[in-house]
Amino acid sequence: MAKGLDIGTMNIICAEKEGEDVVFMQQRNAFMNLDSNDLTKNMLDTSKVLYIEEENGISLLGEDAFKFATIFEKEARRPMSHGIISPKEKEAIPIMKLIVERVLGKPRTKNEVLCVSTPADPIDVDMDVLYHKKTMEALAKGMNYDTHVIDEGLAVIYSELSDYNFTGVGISVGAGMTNVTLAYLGTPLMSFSIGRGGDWIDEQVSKSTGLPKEHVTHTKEKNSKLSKQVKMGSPEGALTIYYEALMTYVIQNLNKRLAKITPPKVAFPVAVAGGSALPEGFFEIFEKKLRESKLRVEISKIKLAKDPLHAVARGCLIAARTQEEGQKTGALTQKKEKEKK
Amino acid sequence: MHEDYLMEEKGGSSRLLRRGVSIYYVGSMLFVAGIALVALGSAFIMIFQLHYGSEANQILYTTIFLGTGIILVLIGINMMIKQTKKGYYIIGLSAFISSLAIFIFASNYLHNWYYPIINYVLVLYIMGFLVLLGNAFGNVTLWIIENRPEAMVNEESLAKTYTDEEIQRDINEATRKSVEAAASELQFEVGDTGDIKLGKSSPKTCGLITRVKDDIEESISLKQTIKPGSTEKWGSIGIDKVSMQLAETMNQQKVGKRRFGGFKERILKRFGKQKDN
Repeated sequence: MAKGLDIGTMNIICAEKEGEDVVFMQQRNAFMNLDSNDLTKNMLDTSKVLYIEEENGISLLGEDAFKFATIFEKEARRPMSHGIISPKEKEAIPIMKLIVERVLGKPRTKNEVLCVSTPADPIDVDMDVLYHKKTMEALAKGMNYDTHVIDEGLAVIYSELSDYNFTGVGISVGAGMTNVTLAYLGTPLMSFSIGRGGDWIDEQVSKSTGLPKEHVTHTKEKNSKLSKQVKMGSPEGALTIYYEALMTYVIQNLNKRLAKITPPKVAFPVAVAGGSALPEGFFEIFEKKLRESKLRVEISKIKLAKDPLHAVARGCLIAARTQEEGQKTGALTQKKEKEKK
Repeated sequence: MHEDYLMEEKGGSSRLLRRGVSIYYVGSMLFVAGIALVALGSAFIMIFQLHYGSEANQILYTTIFLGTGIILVLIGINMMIKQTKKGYYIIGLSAFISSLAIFIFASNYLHNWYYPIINYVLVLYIMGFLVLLGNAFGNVTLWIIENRPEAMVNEESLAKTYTDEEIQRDINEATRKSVEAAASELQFEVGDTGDIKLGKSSPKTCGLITRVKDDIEESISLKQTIKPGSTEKWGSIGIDKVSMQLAETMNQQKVGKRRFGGFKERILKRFGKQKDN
């Protein structure tokens, strides 16, 4: 038994194997404060909403916090920003722990292997992800999991590039950041992250159109299509512009970083995943831009993950299962050696 | 004398102590005195023309001068060399043992100079002598080892000047390593969420559940890719993969052989034809 956990700025997703299926448990990484009164509590209890009672009110957790924020036109609070624990929301760590506990569940076996995805070091934002990594590791270890950490980009490679011997470029366009990893035979050669992702697009669109950020996020997730022909005043037009801007930024940075290494002379496939890669038309634009860019490595194929939202969690699950099998094999070998002795 | 026991690093008994100036002078004085006594002893040997049948007093004085001189020379050398904390105790102890041997010799020669007293005196003296000699050797070796990297760094730093970029890169690298080391030692205490009061009907597990039919065979091939050759656990798939790799390699070898073989065959054919003709 093993699990994969993708702790993202927007969603916390757990992947585990159940029989012939892989089950993904997904929850929003958000909360929202409400004033506490009996009527509200009754209403929330009837609707089976996940909330906690605090001294100064109620905090709705997860997806419901997001829904209520959209209804009340309030801003949902986010424990993470730019892919790491938000320095402004440090008190939200217990809340995040609660969400993780609910999504992950208890380990089914002693020292069950868990692989957690974390962002790579950002190249355009002055912040360090080490503290975040350690906190996430501690959070999972505290739940009695044998915790391992892998880069988001590498998780995409594990999930999507098995046909290419885990050689290629994995790009995860998340809400807080975009993670990129170049790997050769499953070994990362270069990993970096960019402090721009879906949230950055939402912010820019919100500024341009005057719509609340939550509304933009909702539009983007529910019915967005990136196209050049859009209705006047709709957020779709702005979304297309800023999506293109983000793609160009990612490709330029990838090229810049490639100049600093000497990758093997092979054609690399590229896999794109992440919640922000979901809008219709995203992949077509990205593929076109990547083909047009004169990248320093040869690109063999560009593919969109089969399930972009769950690809990172799936990659983590693959890594966790591999790790688990490695441990089993190691234990068996040791046992055999002992028997021989 | 406070300067005599200055230490380079606190508490390091195995580290060399920074030797004070006065200890160095005392050591050199003892060394000179020792040399003088050895010279005097040697002079006595020549003056008295010492042999087995010489007078007892002549033998006694010559031996005392020589014996004391040699020990003083060794103590002097030891004191002039940088010592460990233990080293000073060793010098004191061995000096005492050797002095005791000389004293026993002086008080017992000639009338009580029998076995096993002779053995005891010899053992004590030789022990003191060897320990002093060994201590001096050991500390010199330690001093050479401790000073070697310093010397190399100095040579390098003299030879090379660093650019600002290199310095900045080194600083960044050192800072990164230090942060990583500090982070790896961090022990987070994750606060228990037990005191948070959950809503009455809050479900134990929550979230959107997506179920996908998926074998996750990638984990098999990932293990194969990262650790090629580890096939025993994965059964047929792993065996297939390795078999294919083997077949591929053998194919390549065949092609190589055919090329070489073809060349050889052509030569043989030509020669064969010539022979037939």
